[in-house]
Amino acid sequence: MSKVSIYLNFQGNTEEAFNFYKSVFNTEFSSPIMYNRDIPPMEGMPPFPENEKGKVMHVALPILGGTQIMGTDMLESMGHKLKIGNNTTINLEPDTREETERLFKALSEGGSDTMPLMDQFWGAYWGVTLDRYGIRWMFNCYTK
Amino acid sequence: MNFYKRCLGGKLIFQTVGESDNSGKMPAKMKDCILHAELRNEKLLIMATDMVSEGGLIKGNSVSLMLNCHSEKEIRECYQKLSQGGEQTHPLKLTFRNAIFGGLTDKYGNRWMLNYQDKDH
Repeated sequence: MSKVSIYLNFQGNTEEAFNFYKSVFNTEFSSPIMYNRDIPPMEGMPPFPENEKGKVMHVALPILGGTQIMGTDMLESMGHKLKIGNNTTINLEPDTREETERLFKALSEGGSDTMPLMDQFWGAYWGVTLDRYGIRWMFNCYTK
Repeated sequence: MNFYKRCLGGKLIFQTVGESDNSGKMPAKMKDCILHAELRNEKLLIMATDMVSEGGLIKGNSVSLMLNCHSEKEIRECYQKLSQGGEQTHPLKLTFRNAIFGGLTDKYGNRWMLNYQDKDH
């Protein structure tokens, strides 16, 4: 089936971040977390250093409306370095204002760069927050 | 957004600053900037704006969009189109889970992952 998901990178704390998102969205991982140690050996691929074997290779979590966020740890051994930008935001459109407020509060906890929820001229109850893991979320709720 | 429409298809709409209810409050030179754009097709909705915050645009690498394609033809076409003028960071190849997978950064600095698997996993 053809679909779109949002893929998130973290510098070694993917598992912690996804446990946080699991508690925020009250959902369960789509399948058990796959760790680097679970990858079968492949020709031409060097083995993972000990400290990266327990890092997350892949995790998937449904959030709203069937959309999934997926995540992986960036690997220092491969020179990966996380850079938090402001060019990408995940937009959430919860069904009710109450749910919008609950999700906004939960995702903002320990976060920064927040624009509080307000009624906007385009008819939405709107806000933005950068969560504690550096992922930016936007809210647009159209129900009064 | 026109580039993404050419790559992915769908219906694209734009609202400029000049067309918005609040245009009077904005500097005249901004009236042709895009306040809000939407590209919508059967599987995605991408929204975009020229309204960058005061700190300017910072391109990060923490978020990618993952496209699960429904055919080998689709994944090859999407990969080729999206990577035009960009960087093919992970060219399409067969992975250990018997999927075709690839990654790229497009010419606007946005990151994409493409995946095609014969049967649902």
